[in-house]
Amino acid sequence: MVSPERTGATSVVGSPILDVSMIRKTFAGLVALDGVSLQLGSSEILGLIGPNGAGKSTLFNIISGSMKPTAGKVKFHDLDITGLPPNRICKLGIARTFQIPRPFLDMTVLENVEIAQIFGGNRVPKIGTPREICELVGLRDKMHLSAKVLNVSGKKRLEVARALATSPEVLLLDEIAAGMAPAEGEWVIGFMEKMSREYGVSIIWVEHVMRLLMKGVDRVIVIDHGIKIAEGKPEDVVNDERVQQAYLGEKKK
Amino acid sequence: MSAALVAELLILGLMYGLLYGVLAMGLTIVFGVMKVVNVAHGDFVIVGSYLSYWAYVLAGLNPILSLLLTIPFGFLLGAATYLGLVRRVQNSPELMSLLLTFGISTLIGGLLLFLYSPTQRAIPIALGSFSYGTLSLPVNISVAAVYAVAVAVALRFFFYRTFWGKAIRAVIDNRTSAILVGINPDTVSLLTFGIGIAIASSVGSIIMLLQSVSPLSGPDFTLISFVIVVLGGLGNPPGALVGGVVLGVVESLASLVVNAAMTPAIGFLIMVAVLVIRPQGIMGRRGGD
Amino acid sequence: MLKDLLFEKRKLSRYIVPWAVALALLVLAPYFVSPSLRSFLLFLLMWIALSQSFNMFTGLTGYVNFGFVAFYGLGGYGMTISLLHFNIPIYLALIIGGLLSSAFAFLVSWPTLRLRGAYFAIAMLSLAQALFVIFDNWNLVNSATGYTFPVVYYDPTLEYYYMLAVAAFTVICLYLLMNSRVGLALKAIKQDEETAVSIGINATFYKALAFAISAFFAGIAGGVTTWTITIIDPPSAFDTTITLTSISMSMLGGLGTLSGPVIGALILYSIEHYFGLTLPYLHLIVFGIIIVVVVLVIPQGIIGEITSKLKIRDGGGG
Repeated sequence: MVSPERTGATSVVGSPILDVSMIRKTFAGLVALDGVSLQLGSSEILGLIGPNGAGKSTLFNIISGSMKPTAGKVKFHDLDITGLPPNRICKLGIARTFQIPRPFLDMTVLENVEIAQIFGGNRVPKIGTPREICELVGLRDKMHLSAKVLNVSGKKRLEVARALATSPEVLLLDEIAAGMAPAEGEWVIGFMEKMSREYGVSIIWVEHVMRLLMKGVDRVIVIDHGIKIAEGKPEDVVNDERVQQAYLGEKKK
Repeated sequence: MSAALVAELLILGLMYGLLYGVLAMGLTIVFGVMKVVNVAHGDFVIVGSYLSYWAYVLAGLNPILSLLLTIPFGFLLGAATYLGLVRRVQNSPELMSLLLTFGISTLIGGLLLFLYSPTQRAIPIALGSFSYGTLSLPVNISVAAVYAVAVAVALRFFFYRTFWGKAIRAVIDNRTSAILVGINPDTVSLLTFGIGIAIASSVGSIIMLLQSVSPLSGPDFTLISFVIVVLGGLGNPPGALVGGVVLGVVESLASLVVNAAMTPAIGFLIMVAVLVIRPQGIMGRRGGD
Repeated sequence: MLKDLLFEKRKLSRYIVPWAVALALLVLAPYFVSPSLRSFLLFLLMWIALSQSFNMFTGLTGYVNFGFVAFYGLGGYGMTISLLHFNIPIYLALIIGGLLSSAFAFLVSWPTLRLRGAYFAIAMLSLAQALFVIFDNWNLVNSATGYTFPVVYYDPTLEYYYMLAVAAFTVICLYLLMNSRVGLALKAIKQDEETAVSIGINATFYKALAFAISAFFAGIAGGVTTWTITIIDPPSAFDTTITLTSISMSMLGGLGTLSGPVIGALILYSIEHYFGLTLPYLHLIVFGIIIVVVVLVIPQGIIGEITSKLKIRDGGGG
């Protein structure tokens, strides 16, 4: 895989592999998302930030298929995947993690990863065998432990491992760093780089641990109250007035 | 088919709908608070009916007066059932609470059958009808409707003007937040279950004005409550009332074209249709962010 | 879809011995037991077949099918009509009954399996009631009168062996299911359906499959039972007590285990037969108590509790 240089561009170089356009989502009168668009390029790490309730998880749900948008389209490699069920979207190559990790508690760590590969991972090239993936996320010595005994950090890693087992091209990471010790933060960034540069996985990363995200991403999109209010390089977005206003009252980490 | 007939059917449907809607409210608040589906809901109705029946036979007590008995009895019975049984499965998979309440339903039916034999019981109070011009409405269903409205108003007051009522609403809306602000979920569950069963048994008393019952009639009432709850959205009390009225009116008008035996099938068809087209019910809200 | 049914070999040898012995004894039974004991065994086998079919769906997916008797009744009617109206040989008529049941399950699975557990349970209950009303008023199937089998079909020994075969097949099929890819998918679905779907499992398909298979066996069991008791009418074909009993037996033994429903059926049917639980209210009271006690005290059933205490797996299983 050719690893592109970190471009830090404000928009995608080349044609985007994921094209989310004008997504609108309403719940019984409440507008969660109002015409949000984004593009994700190959091997790109895109950060998605915004105050609580901004609509980030809803957007993830729509992209991954657990929710249907009220309007708008999601295209993956020019294929319209809007409204497809989550299992189809997973098989097509878009995997996601959940904010609150949901491992299969009755199974071991390895089994969790294996089952994901059995059912969702029939694409090539594979990221690796279940064992290799456990190694990648740093769970090798916990492979045969029951998922029940993992701590928060372990469970988050397992979430990622399971997603990787499905050989995704696009990985939607939902707050993977929250709950991890600060020291692990560097590992998170290193891991992302590896995934994107070596394995060619594109990542959309939602995070509240701001300093980490700003260090790790190529580009950032800011959402507030269901609208995209800024997009660009991390350093530019941080200094954007609208972004600072949106976060007024919220501590910037 | 005269306009008067249609009007009568509409009003009858409305009144039955109100009564069953209120019954369904009992079911829906229990679900909203504890995420427990009480399959025995209808059986508690029958318990109330039998209480009223025996109050009538032994003491000549009018079913409406027997409400003074069945409401507190129902509440206590509900509280006891919660404390002894239901509380333990609150946090288990839904499968468990379904099976538990199914077991309770079976048990109640069996006990009533054992105690009172399978004969239908009825209270022979003839109340006649009101007449408004060309319209003729039976008094009994009118009384039932008035009762239903009274309960609905009382519940509204309770839920919006009292501490515990608001606490219950808070838990239905967002359990975690409610706990965080200091509301004791166990007490709320206890209250809710008690209220739910009190509603059920009180409807059982009123039902004696309208029809006869037997120990195994419970599931029929559970089914009706369920269809209504589906229409109105699980955990949505006003929705239950609306759903009840909708079902009542539709079934009433349907009786013009279809024979009475088929009406449960209609309820079922409506339920399936709603579940397929709009799973959150007519008034339900879809899961949020 | 054949690759979905790939089954991985397990250490069958030790595990299979008790089953093989039991099977051998049951095969030889008609030669050395009295007719009344044979009759007892026949109905025991019927309950084993029914509880195991119930277990195939509810035990593996966690969805409670309160309308289970619908499968039994449809199978019974399917078999009866094929046999009496179309003169189809019995073994084929039974299969037709099973397939009719399966087709029905598949048909209703699309709207119902998308529902969450409670809705599904009640929807199925309504469905069974609806079927009763329909069959009760439908002239094509003799409405309330039903059918009576002419004496020529009476053959108690053959009926016994058919029932034994059905029971044996349900056990074998459940074993295969539990140890296949399908079983693995169902296990994940039962634990956390949303997560299972997010890793690529087509939950609707697998649930529908388990549903249809459960219906098939319940339908065949219904057919053999109808043949044995020589009559069928709406109240007996759609008797909710059948659902109740199947639930009680599989719960007592252990939903989701292989031998649980067998043990549960053995215990409960023996009690019912030898203590004369024929009075309807006794039936309800005893079974109601059993269900409540099982849920509160031994939620995994007898076999389930034993295997989780000993940390072994019953029947292999994913």
